Amino acid sequence: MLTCKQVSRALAEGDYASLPLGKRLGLKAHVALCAVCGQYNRQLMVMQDTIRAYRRREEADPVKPEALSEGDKAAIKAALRRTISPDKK
Amino acid sequence: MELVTDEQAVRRAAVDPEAWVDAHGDYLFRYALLRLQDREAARDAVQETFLAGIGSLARYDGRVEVKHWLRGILRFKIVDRIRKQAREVVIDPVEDQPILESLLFKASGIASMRPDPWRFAPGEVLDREEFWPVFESCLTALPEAMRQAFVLKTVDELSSDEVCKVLNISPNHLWVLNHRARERLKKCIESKWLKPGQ
Repeated sequence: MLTCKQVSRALAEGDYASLPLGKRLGLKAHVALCAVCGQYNRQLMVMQDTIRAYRRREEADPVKPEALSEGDKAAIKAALRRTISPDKK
Repeated sequence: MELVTDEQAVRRAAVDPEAWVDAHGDYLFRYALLRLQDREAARDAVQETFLAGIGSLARYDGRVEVKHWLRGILRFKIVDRIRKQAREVVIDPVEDQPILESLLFKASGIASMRPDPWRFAPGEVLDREEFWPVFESCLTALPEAMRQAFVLKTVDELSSDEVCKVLNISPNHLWVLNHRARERLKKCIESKWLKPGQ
């Protein structure tokens, strides 16, 4: 029998796939029957959905509040030039 | 607008690497800035990334977009910096016991307190542009160790083992940091998102 402590930790770790089948079923049954762990699991899922949406958004990079300054870009370009053709100035 | 295939982009970049800086510099900078919270460190990590990219151009096989290939290099640079930083500063010690604020356990390990439900329907806000500055400000407001643990484990999906090694902390410490990060994020998002007038 799994305790709530073990269940909440396994849920937060999110690596149920690595658990043996018996443990996985025990976990499922516990979450389905226990009001506290059920609530905890729903919260984790909301957080996971939020993070997933955040990753998609970061990737799409729709608003650009921060950027490299022109000076920084020029410095990076100069460093690249030096690396590619160190003999040239 | 002219469409450029990655292969063309790579060939052009080999001649003119500055194209990378214009095409991907800002994206990589924002990626690094969120994770390092330091403009100078973020800029340096981006520069190192471009230099490493040029240096290993021969190994780029075109299977992923240049942007993602460079981001892969940048991730290593960022994790490396966080690892070095974690060796230098002592991470605020968390008492090493997983007594969780929202889920207090009796001695038997049975939870005795139900976590509060979200005070709004979170699914609906994810499509709203104005939600994300709130989310980001709450994320960056987390104490440093908590933020790094949360971002590495939950946002960047490193394994717990890897995160523990990078931050030089125990698995239990990581679990407590992540739990607290989630709690704080939830509270912060709720209070900022539900503030009067919204």
